[in-house]
Amino acid sequence: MLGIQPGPMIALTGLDLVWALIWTLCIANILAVVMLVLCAPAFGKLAFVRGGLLIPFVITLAFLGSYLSQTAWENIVLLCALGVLGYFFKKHRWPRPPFVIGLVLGPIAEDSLHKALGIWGPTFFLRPLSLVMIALIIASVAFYVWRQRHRKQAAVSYEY
Amino acid sequence: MSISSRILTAAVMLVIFAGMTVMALGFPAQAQLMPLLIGVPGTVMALVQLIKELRAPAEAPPAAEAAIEAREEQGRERKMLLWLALFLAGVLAFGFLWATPVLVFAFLRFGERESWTIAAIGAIGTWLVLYVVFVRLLELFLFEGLVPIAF
Repeated sequence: MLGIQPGPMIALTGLDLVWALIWTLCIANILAVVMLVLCAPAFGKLAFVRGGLLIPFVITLAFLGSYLSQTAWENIVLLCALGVLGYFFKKHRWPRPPFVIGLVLGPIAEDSLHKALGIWGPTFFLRPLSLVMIALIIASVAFYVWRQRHRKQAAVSYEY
Repeated sequence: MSISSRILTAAVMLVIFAGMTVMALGFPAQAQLMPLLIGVPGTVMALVQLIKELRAPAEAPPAAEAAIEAREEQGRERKMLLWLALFLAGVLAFGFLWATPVLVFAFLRFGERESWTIAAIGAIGTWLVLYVVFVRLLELFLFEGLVPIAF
């Protein structure tokens, strides 16, 4: 793609390239459909493999993935620690999605926070949208506490 | 086991949040803002959760059938944690290429009671995939293990 300037002008200056890309996508999709239709019966059989047989391969691939992401063996230790913690989260019904969302959005949120503080200063937290977000966070925690208490009271009254 | 692991989970979360808060206090003023924004409420909520777990009344002993099921689940849980620890120790000590096939073989043969043939096929297949796909084709560097590095 060296020397190609993307944008509306590409429709005038590089129409041959645009058509080449469109045809590549078409052919790739047709090939993918043919290949997947041919392989589907074999892939379907994977669903009947016993879970116990897949465990060592899943562990190996998970270890490989975590190691290769940064080529650091410490990541494998972290994977195991967080995996065990995640298992107990699931067992004791701790919500797991917030941790995953935090992991994905954390760096973006931190970057945006510093930008916002750079533009508005500390009064950023007193802007209308910030106040709405803070209120929503407090309301969600308060609603959770209220729901827990309500359930407990309902359980006690049901017993009597 | 159930109650103690519930308390332990809350305690671990408290340690994680409190740890990140204490670590963040050592950062420069601007860098500590976001960790503190997450760490302080997290510590407070984890502390509340821990207190809640500690004050929760002990669960009534389960019925006979449920008790058997719970014991079986505990057994499966311990077995999987043990295998995970073995995989971790093996890979860290001897690396992917040598530890993984041995562990796959051991898991299939002794953990899952598969035949020697299936366990051997699993181990050889794992080694082949690791060596041919990852080392040869993708030319990736796989961790060699701490023991070979040390000697």
